[in-house]
Amino acid sequence: MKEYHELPQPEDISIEEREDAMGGYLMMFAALAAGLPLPMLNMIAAVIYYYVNKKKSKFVHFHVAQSVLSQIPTSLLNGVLVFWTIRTFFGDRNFTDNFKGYALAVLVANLAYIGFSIYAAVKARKGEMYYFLLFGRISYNIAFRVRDDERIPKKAINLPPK
Amino acid sequence: MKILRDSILLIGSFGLIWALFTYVPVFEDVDVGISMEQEEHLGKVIMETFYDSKTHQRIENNAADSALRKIATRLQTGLGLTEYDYNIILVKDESINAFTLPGGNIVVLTGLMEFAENPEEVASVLAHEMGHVEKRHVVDRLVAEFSLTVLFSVLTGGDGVLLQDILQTLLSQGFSRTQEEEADAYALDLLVKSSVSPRALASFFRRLNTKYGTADDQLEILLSHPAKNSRIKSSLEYKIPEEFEAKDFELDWEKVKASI
Repeated sequence: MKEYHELPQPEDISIEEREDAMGGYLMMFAALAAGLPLPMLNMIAAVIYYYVNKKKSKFVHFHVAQSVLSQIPTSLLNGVLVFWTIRTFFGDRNFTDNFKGYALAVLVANLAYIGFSIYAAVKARKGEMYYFLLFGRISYNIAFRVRDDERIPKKAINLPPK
Repeated sequence: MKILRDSILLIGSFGLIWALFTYVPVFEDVDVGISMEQEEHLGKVIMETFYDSKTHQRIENNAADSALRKIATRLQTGLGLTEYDYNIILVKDESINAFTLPGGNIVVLTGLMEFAENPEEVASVLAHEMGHVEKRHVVDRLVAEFSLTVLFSVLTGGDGVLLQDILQTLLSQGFSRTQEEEADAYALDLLVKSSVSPRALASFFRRLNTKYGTADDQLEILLSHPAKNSRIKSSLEYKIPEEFEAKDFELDWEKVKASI
């Protein structure tokens, strides 16, 4: 049976935690813009931000995990789009309806990602949880699930000589 | 289980949006940036360059030319209202090909007339070229190859070298596969409206494939109009309306060919 740590309530979360949690989402935009020609670059920045901040608190851990995970699909989709565009441009330059449909769908995915991220950043700044579809559930598991090493009592046990 | 459900929901939504944007034509009515009047003017200057180059000998006033006119007139009647004033000319060249130039100008090579077994086959190729005209593929291609600035400079009295370059591009480069398929679909409808059997297009392409194989580089028309089996198949599968009745062109085709 899964066990979860209790969720912190907004009044228990410090301003620093809220800002670190919010930073996870906002930093993605800077990284996304910088990494646009090579979408996978922003993933590196996201992972670094995650490892730097995840120990700060479970609330921060949840939000930075959610921002990293939610970025994976859009990064992959953007990567495929860049590859497909270059391949077509240097190939027969036949931008098919399928390609155009994909490009528009990727645009919609990016806009949705940006919209949800801004909303989540605002929520994080208020000290609230906000769960994305799929990634919210996974991030909650990552941040709040009681791990095996957390079950072992931390206090020292005196034992007789061996 | 909930994670699986969420994953399916996310992937499914993306797939649905992709399919929606693919099959709902978002880009079809995008303005190409050149008006009909400008295209007509562009066609005029390009045709002048074409005649001036003297590398192309125009065939006029013989049986082949009048046969081509007869075929073109039938198709234009089937076409009904159009913004184009068609100018279809026959040029002496052994290649089995036809070209679409801006402003409704279509060049048919004598090689095509000689290869065709009947006037219906010529009509099918001509209908296909008219499809490129009506769908404004030529302008699309010109805008893609040359910028709008370059094209406008031609319209306001561009230099001869540039015009030669544009003409060469139009004569040598093909359309995209999507454009070819659009022109095919247009041609099949137009053939039916003109009382010409739409199967003529398939039979023409099939004969080309049989005679020359699918080695596209052997034959110019295959290079510029790739006769893939899928295109032959879609021509063959085209549903002819029940009330359709083919009308003969009443041309002595052997005599027409002999006049070339």
